[in-house]
Amino acid sequence: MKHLSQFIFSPIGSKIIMALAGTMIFLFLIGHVLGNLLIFNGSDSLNTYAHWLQNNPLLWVFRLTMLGLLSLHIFIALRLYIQNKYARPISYQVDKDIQLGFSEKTMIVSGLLIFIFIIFHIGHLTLGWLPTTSLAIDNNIKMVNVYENIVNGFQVSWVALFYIVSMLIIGLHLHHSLKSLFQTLGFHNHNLHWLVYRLTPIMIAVLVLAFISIPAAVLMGWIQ
Amino acid sequence: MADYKIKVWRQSPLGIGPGGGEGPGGKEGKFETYTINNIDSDLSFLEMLDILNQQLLQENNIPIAFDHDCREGICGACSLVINGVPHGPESSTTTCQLYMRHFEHNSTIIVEPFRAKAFPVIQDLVVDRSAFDRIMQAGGYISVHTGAATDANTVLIAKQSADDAFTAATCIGCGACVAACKNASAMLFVAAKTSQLGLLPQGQPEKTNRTLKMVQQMQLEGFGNCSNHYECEAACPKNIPASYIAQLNKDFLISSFTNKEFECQNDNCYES
Ligand code: FES
Repeated sequence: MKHLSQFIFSPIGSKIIMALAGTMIFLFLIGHVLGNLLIFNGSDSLNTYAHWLQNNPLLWVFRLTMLGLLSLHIFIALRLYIQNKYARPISYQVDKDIQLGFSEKTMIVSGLLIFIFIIFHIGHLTLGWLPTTSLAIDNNIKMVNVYENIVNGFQVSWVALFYIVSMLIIGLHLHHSLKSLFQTLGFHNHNLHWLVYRLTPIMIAVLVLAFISIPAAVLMGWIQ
Repeated sequence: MADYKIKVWRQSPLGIGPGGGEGPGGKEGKFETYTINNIDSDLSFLEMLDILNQQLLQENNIPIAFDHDCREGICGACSLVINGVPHGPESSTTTCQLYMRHFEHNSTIIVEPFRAKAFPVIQDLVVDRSAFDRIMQAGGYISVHTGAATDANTVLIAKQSADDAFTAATCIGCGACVAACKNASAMLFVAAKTSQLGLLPQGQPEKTNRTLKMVQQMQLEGFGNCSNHYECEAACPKNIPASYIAQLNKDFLISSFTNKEFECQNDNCYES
């Protein structure tokens, strides 16, 4: 136990935990997008799937786990961020980036924007804060009409645009995260370069485009 | 021959200068700009500073303090952040090996000390890098018996391991990695120093203790954490790759769960 707490508060250990929590969230996103894509299979598919999820006995176990992982990820990130700021109390007159990329530089900002998005997203579709969302049981199909909530929601163009921009920000955040993951967990084999620098950007692009396809399709009127 | 404006950081943290007074730059420090003319393009950056100091002395001013020793790129004593880059704009080059031909005639060159909480300014451009020494004392060694040296090659070492350890061992401990890192993290230094021993058979007995102790000391000195930006790798005059940091991460993970001896000095290992 003592070893574990030493590990958690160490500079490297906390990063490893942040990386692992982030990875779990990333895996969740893959599952999430696969479920979302059912919308292209018509309202029945999506509604039945959503109904199964909502009535799943493990729903709250899952939700609390995700909440825990997200809080852990954010807590460690902020803690590291503050420590890092303390490590250089006086900044440089000329603060030049030698090779630093945009994604690397904006992790804390993209992270905060994603957090805001998550709150909005849960408020929008799960808690029904927007008038376009109805949480009542639809009499025709005897379940909540998630399909209609999504379509009605995204027909409001600012909502759809907000989702699209947020997905791009998630892509930006993931761009640095996935590369970092291998470094933080200690994989640095040359054979992995291909995986890290070629495959992960493609994975991120596919994920982000799959998410974006839904608000985009509603905006274009392909899904009604 | 070229002329330059040198905008340089001057600070006397103790608040005392030679011959009384509060010393150049005062306690808090500030930038001063000096003009220097007729500089030969084949002079090194430090030689240019020598000439500037001579000029300051002749004008009855206090010369600028800066660190240097070998002036041939092998000791790690020289430092300086020149126009925002540790050791200046040329890659794989220490400040002492940087030549004035890389700077345009009539340009302003901004010279700052390495900035980090763990590297406090002693005077002007000289910073205290003894934090690195304390990290080394925490575990950057191997214990061997004294007596006759064993025959060469009694312990066989794979070529790849020998090469990797050697690359790590080219670290001259100058601190450019800390200066370049947005978080003032010393991870590349610690990674190089743990790897140069940990990749060889002679470094195995103390490996887990060494890794844990050096990482702990790094944190206690007030360096930041690694954000995988790799600015350190880009600034390193010896081109040590950031993959050594991945090696350190892996070693630390394994050491944390296999080492039974390591004990923290205080309740919380990582906060002084
Ligand atoms: S003075 Fe020795 S490395 Fe520059």
